[in-house]
Amino acid sequence: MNESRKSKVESRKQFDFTTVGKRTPYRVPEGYMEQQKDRLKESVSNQVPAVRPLRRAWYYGIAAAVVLLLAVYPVMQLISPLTETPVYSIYDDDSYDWADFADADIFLDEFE
Amino acid sequence: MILRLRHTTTEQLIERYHEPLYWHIRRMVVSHDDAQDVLQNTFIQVHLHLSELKDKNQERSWIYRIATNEALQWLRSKHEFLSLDDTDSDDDESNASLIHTLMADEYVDTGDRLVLLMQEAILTLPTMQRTVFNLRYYDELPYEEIAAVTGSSVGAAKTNYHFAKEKISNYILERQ
Repeated sequence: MNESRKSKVESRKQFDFTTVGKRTPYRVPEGYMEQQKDRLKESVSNQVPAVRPLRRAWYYGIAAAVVLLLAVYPVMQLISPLTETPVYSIYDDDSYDWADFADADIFLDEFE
Repeated sequence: MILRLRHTTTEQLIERYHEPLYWHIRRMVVSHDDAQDVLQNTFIQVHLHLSELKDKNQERSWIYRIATNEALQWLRSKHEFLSLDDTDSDDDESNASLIHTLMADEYVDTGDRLVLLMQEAILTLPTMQRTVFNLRYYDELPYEEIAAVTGSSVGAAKTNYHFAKEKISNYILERQ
């Protein structure tokens, strides 16, 4: 094998990663992983997830609407019987007044 | 009630990911003490932003992304530069510091020369290549997830992994 070819083959030579595998030189103190898990849970429990301002505004808006509805509803219930016109109170003559020319056929059909 | 549910979910994530995330962060920041702090910051961020995790299938890449960003932020605060897009010269300075930490950290076993040499080789890589290599080689994340973690494409992740492996191989062969 000539010199240039030999160097080409050598340059293509790859390190065999399986000789090391996943071993690393990093170590942790004994029992660290278990302690760390508990420490993490504790540190997280002291944190309150931040509510974004826009979402907070929505919550306030919805709460205000619910309160307003609860306050207004009983009043509306008291007022509504006086302001609404019951169906039976509409006279037949009024019905004719409301009907326009295009509805004439309906009344003709009824008289037949 | 909502807070309680959210807290329970964060606990579940701690159970599931605290160990792999610790090692991922440790491989990035090298020092055990730093890794502890970064891991804690990671889970606080996870807890605070848990509502942003909509798709359960993206849970792992989401949490790894937070951990990676926290680790990079930590390194940046120490070296005042460094991101996944940083230039080689920025990386060189930071890498020299990481290799120094590797040799000096109390919780590093210097007994196996080849294992140490491989870790040294990884620490000479540019930040993006090092991150991709670690995620693929040690954590065995699929390229799709690596792309999601690093904010790059699948093709870029594959290329980075290929180059990283080549450089590590050359580094070790030159020094063996």
